[in-house]
Amino acid sequence: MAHDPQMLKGVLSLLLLRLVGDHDDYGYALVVRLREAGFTELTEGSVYPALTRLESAGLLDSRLVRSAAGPARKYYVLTTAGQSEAARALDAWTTLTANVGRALKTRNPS
Amino acid sequence: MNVIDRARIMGATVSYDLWLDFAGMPGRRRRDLRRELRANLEEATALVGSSNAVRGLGGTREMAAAASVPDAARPRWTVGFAVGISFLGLALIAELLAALSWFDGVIAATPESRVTGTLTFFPGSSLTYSPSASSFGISIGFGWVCFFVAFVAFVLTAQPWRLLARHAAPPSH
Repeated sequence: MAHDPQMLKGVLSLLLLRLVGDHDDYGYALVVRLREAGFTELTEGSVYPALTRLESAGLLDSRLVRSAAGPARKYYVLTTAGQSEAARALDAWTTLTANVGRALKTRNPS
Repeated sequence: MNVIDRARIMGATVSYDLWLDFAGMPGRRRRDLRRELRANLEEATALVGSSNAVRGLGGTREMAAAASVPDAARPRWTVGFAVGISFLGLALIAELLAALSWFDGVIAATPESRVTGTLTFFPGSSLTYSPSASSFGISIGFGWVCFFVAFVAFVLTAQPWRLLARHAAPPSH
């Protein structure tokens, strides 16, 4: 089933912080990892700006790594502030999904 | 990667860069983002082809808007330059067409001596028609109006007075 673009936009930062937290990676590789995780409709046009904003906000840092295939790749690294934000966003997401789940159960007990 | 692939990637990166500039992204940061986008597009091109790689970006205007934190204190130099050059070209073409009309009128009158004139809407311009025994010569001085129009377009678009706001309130980071 396709994801709601607005909902996806809301959790994209959390997803990116978690993926980069797992291991440093560059833009297109992160797009591929997100698609492999099931977000098949996710476009590069939404991931790259999100990475740029996270970097501007100091939640991600970056380093250039030479590539034999072409120009140097820009690998993103999670900063300390990014770790804190990822933990906070995960808590917020967990709380939200729990509350939504409870509300839906109350609405439709069957 | 063939020439078409490279052209597609270059087109997307240039377009992205222009929209980033329009959104107020500083030059050094734009260069970084341009390099990053090119590297990502080349990577994607190797896997899915340049057409799909560029299509995956969607609109570069929306991408740039999403990537930018608007900086109201930064003049838009590149956009101003592009608009200024465009206005210069248009003004020169308009003046050239007006001059050709003037020359057509003069030639139709078949004057026997040298004729000089100016174009009403282009102060500072000078037109000269010089007949000789078997032919004629013409010369055009474009004057300053075209450059003035281009300069005004550049200033209005680039908005250099934004620098005053920058001096008044330094950026937070």
